[in-house]
Amino acid sequence: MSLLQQLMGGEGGSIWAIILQVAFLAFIIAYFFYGQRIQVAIWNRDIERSLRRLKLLRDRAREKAIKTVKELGKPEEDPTPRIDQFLETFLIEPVNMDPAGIVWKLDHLLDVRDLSMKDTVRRIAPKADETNLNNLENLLEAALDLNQIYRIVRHYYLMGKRTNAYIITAQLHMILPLIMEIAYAYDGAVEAFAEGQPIGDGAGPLLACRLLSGREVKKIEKDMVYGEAELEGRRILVLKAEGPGGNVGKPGEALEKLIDTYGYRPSIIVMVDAAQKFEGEETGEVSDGVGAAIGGIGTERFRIEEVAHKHKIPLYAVVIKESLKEAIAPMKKEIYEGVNKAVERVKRIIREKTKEGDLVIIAGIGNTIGIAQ
Amino acid sequence: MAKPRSNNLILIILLALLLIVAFGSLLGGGGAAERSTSTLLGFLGLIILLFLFLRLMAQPPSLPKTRIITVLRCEKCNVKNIREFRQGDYIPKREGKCPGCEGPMYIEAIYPEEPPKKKPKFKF
Ligand SMILES: [Zn+2]
Repeated sequence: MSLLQQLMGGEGGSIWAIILQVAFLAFIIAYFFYGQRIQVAIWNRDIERSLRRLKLLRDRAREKAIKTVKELGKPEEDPTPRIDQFLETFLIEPVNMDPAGIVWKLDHLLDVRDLSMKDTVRRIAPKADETNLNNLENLLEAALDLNQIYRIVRHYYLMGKRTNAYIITAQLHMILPLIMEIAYAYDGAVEAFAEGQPIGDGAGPLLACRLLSGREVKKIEKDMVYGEAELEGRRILVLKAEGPGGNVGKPGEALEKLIDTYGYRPSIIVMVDAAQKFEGEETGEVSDGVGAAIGGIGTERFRIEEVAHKHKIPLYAVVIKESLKEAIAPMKKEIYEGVNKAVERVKRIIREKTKEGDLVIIAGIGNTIGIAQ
Repeated sequence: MAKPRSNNLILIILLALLLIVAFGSLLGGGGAAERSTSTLLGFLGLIILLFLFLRLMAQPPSLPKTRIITVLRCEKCNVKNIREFRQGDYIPKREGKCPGCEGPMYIEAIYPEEPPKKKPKFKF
């Protein structure tokens, strides 16, 4: 009671009670007029904190890249300036006002980018072997992505602050948790790429490796290999990117070549890939469906759909579920178990959809780092 | 990560108010009941202060460095062997001889050693 009286400036009213009252009123009035600004200031502070974290992740990835390049590539001169230039490289996507034929243009640009990246890595790490070269390229790409995230977030943060465009600050603040999750995922990937450990995305190539189990493989197309084996009494052609360096290869082009150039006529194509699970689903769960199971920018999927459509070959997909973070972190035990389940699923599909003696193409899609054939 | 910070802000404001009230009644005099009220409030303020300080001092829990292990398996008798991952390991690299039957061994899996998993509380 006495406290309340004091606050109200009642009987026991003193100079302090008046000060308190005035401060309280001032606070309410200030909040009334400047509430939004206070809110934006709080958002900006949150963004700043995340931005510092992003810078830390970016710098760490850069340091790791420089260290690994020096270790594996043994360059004669300091690779740092060249790596810094690499971290700023970009790709300008083809114009899409007239989208006919855009896939081939994009595909061409991606090829050019890939070649030029490989060339750069070869220059800065002249002593690295093919496997390490691919791993270094993956590592540098992860550092490039982290750098890109950092620069974009910083851009919108500074722009929102400078122009007082609250909407930009608000939007940035709202999607920041998702951006940070992606950044942390890349941070986890850096270590795996530097060491050459298999990552979650390697589930498809791992399945291909299991099916091939030491059989002879032939090189086909850029960075792709295929081998022949037998499964459930059917002849199978197993396709994967060439390991154990970090590679995704071009499965679309390889399939085209197998079917169009080499003249193989499979009864079905089964594609196996890691797929992003929904929140709440278990890692390593397996499900199957119809279509081309392959991620990326879409050019490879386009090719596969084209060739399957041209020859009327049914396309089946088996996916092993994992989160984005798990896809680029070292492969978890659950995913190995998922691959075993996926082998059983592929066998079931083959038994149900083909006859004995048929030819089946099985493509293991994904980054084959740490997984040979 | 942003949530505890905004809580901190609320706590700081609360703390300031409490201190003002406590000091105010100490300086402004008043009855014994009022004094004990303000002492209580002052203590509450001190506790909050301590709490805030501890929270500021607490380092964010660093992630435990997971060990990456390599699983080797014998081609003949299926014996399993586990060791630490070394750079240059890949699946299915052939390496070494089986301690049991002298058969060739290959790397079957490479994965991070998992800490024992906690079951989620609610199952949807
Ligand atoms: Zn043995």
